[in-house]
Amino acid sequence: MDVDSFAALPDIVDAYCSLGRWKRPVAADFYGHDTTSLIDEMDQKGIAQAIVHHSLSRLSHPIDGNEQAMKGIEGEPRLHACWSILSKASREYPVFEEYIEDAFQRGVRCFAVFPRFGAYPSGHDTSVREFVRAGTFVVFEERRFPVFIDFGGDPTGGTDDTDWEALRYLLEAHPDLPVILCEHRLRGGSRLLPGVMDDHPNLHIETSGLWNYMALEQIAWQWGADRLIFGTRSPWRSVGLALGMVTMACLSPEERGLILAGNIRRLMEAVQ
Amino acid sequence: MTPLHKQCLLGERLSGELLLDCHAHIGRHADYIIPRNQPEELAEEMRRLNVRGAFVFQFTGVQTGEVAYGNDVIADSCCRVPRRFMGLTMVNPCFECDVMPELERCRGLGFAGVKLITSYQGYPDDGPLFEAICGFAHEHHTPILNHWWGSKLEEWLQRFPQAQFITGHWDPGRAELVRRYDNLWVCTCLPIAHESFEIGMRDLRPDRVMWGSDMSDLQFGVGLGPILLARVDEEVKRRVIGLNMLELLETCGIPAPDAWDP
Repeated sequence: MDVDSFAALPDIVDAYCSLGRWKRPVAADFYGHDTTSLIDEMDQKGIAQAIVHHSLSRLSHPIDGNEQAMKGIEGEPRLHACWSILSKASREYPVFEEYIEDAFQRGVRCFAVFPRFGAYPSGHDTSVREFVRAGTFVVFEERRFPVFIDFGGDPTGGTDDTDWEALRYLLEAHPDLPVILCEHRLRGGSRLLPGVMDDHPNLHIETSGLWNYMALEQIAWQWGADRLIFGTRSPWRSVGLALGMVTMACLSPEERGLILAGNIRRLMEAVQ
Repeated sequence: MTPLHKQCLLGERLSGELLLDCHAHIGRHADYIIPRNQPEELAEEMRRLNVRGAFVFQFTGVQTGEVAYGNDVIADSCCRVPRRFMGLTMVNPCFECDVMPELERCRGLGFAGVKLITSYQGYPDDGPLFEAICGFAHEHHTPILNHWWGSKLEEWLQRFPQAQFITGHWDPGRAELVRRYDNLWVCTCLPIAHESFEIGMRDLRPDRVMWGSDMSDLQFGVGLGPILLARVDEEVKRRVIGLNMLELLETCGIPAPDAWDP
């Protein structure tokens, strides 16, 4: 199948990358992204904008991490913060909806949850079923905030971490919530994903874990390119790997353009 | 922005470049779906990106002793798509008596070399059958690729200088050995981590690194992106994506696949 190339360099938004030091250094001479190193990497790779969460929001406490993310993007219009949340019922938010409104007023247009029960010591322990039971996602569904969900116990590695039954529970409870599933690497999950994609049009897939042959293309062919969101997982993943996977994919320029930037922009612009 | 970098971002066919792939699979996989996995479909994707040819081997023998079945899948693929796929014979040394006859049988079928994945098969990486298998590659001047070479690699590099040893996966830790032995080649599959390719190339001989896609396990762009978009000289990238493997083919007397028709 022949496909056309882009007529000009494409608009690219990295929807899934992070600032801050994690549990260990990324490399001996690179401890993790600060704003400068992230912008440098974006410049070199041709990435226009990025949506960032902070390592603290996943490995320590979301409230602390979200503030660190805001400091990281300060004065840098190419970066946008993604806030992480805990269950509404955890009693850690005086008024949960006010916390979300504050985020909105400060420019936040997407959120992330890391619901990995048993993650300790790699992260905080939570349960997506408890999030749902507590009504955590009601405000996100009403206001159409995109929510990234990453079940990975080790945020720097892993394979097939997704709890598909818990994901179904969330999607069934909130059919209008734009959910973006993140996987470090999808392998066996490729046989579970089709049924969930069939049943839940509000499910999107972040692309950095779709290494397998034609896995990215298969999703676009079967369910539409609008279900895919480009992310790099930088600094833990080669940006070249994540980017080459999409730019060289066997898809039309229009489809690749949606994946690289169009879809996440559309979702963020729809937030009320 | 350099030309190869720009071509990758634009999603352009790499016309005018020589791409040869040292690590690819054909067949079905136990663990996941492989869309468009037929040899003709895989070759069509190679043509789209201008990948001239690839060393190919099976999946079946990774998890079973039925290597002959998988080798027949490869032989059939090479017949169905002539002069694109260069088969490597997989053997499973846990089934000791099958090994040498299968190597001979597949050589008769036109296979170009040997593929090992003993670490998955449960055979020790210093097991005694390596002597015979590496000796076979030495005798026939063929490439021999192992998913992961063990601690005796240097001994075998010395004893079997006519065998061309290929690391199945990205292994910059072999840089010192590569400097000392011309018959050791490092496959790029897969620079997963941040700037892993750039960091590895600081130490590795640029004339002994070969791009391996891991198709049809992995998508082509996954392996090409980290090379084409790397902060590395363009001429080094060109060596890695094809020129080095062309040298390997010439060393082994394996006919290089032709360029695709424009």
